[in-house]
Amino acid sequence: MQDVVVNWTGLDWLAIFMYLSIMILVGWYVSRKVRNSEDYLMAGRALSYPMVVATVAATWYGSGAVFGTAELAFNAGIAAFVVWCVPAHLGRIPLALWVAPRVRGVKENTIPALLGRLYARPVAFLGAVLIVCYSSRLMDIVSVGIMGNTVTGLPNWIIGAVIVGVVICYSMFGGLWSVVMTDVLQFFLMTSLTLLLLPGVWSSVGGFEGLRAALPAGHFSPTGGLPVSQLLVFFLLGFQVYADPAAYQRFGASNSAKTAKRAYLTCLLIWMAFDTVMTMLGLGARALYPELQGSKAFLTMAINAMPPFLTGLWICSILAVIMSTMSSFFLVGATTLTCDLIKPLFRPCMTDREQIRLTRFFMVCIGFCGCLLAFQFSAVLDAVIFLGGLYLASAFVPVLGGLFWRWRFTVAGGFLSMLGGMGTTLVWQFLGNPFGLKPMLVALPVSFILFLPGNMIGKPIDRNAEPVNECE
Amino acid sequence: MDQSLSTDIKFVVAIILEAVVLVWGLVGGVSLLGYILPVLVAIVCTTITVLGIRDFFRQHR
Repeated sequence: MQDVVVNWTGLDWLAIFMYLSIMILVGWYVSRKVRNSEDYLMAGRALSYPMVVATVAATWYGSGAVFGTAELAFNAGIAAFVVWCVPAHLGRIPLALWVAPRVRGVKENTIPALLGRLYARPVAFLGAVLIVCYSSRLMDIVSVGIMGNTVTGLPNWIIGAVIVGVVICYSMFGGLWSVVMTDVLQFFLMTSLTLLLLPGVWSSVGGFEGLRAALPAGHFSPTGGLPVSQLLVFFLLGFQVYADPAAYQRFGASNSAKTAKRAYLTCLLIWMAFDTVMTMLGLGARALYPELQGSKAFLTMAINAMPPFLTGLWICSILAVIMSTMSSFFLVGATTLTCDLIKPLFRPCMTDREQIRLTRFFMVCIGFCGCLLAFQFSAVLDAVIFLGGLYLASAFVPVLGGLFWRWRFTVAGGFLSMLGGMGTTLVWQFLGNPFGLKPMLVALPVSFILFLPGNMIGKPIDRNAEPVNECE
Repeated sequence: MDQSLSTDIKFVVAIILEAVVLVWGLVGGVSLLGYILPVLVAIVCTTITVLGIRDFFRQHR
């Protein structure tokens, strides 16, 4: 099999060095504006419309979204966009219209804090543990290692450790402010450089006429010949974002409910265009390198299309995609550990300064453990990724139910739906995914069904009750 | 009609329209899409970046 051949030069190293240095400098500069823990953890709830657009768009797009879409297009053609991207984005319109403004309106900074107020502390603790696993971004660390090794020839773990180190460094400085402002720059890099690759590739494959001659006819079928059950799976998987803690953090940090809503709607417009470009790049990669595997063909095509220094810059754009996601989730994980586990369990009267210090400490821990798990203890890797997946199946109904359910509402409802989602995922996985259905597709309905009778058990919750301040 | 609601409706219509145009472009094999779309998105994203940086400096003057 033909492998990726890269002429990696000193100029490309220079591009990478400049990019990483600029990220650290921005993180440090922004940190000088941070005055208290609300600034550090929620950017003072002052994020403007363009800031929210940039940070939400950059955070949601990780290695999976970029390489995943291109790879699906490589294998299945335009169906990657028609059946995977379009339904997923249309399904997120309600998230923008109703969930984003509602989340901006609540006082809580994190999903576990919200679960704690709506239900009970044990529900919040369970959610917090799962969110920490979900935030470890092990697949992103693995991807960055593989990409770095493919391009530079250096060992995976060295590349992974350097990138995680830089991400932690700039995120630690100013918390959410640093993460958001580096996201703004990374958003520019990832969109401009990744997208500007297409015109060159497009002319070298001869547009759609050239593609039709080079690719199988099935690549131009809107559904790609996929069965209806598979299409349904794609549609439902798009709903994962409804429980995404990083999106909730950004909704909460927006300067108004209207900003949160409009920014997310704008992101949908951008994502749809970005996905189209990724689909076209995937088709181009298939036409140019049919003998390679999807992601490798995509990488080879991009690198071969660029001169020295621009190759380095293009790799920076892919790093921007991955690092913007990593930084956001490391901060979410560290905030969850500090504010939702340590603070309520051991130090209810923690000061602002202590909160910031502890969050920084946990960011280092999450990054360090992430590198160890990703490159040294691969046996544990799958378990942590699985636990992260468990979070989505178990938190979706309790979180949205807590925000929108208008009828009788009890702690048992939250508990049962969370445990139901989690238990079903575990059992379904243990049974080896019967009928070829993903665990989440079974767990979500079960979680919702249990939420309904659960709300008939026990004392109704007073939603307007003020949270108890344990320091008083 | 409430102005906020009418803006929301415009956004939703724009999203649906964009989806229809892009699907039509891919299914119909409109090659021009490969040249125009990346440039358009790059312009929009660069504008958002510049506005984001401007807002940060305005807020922290």
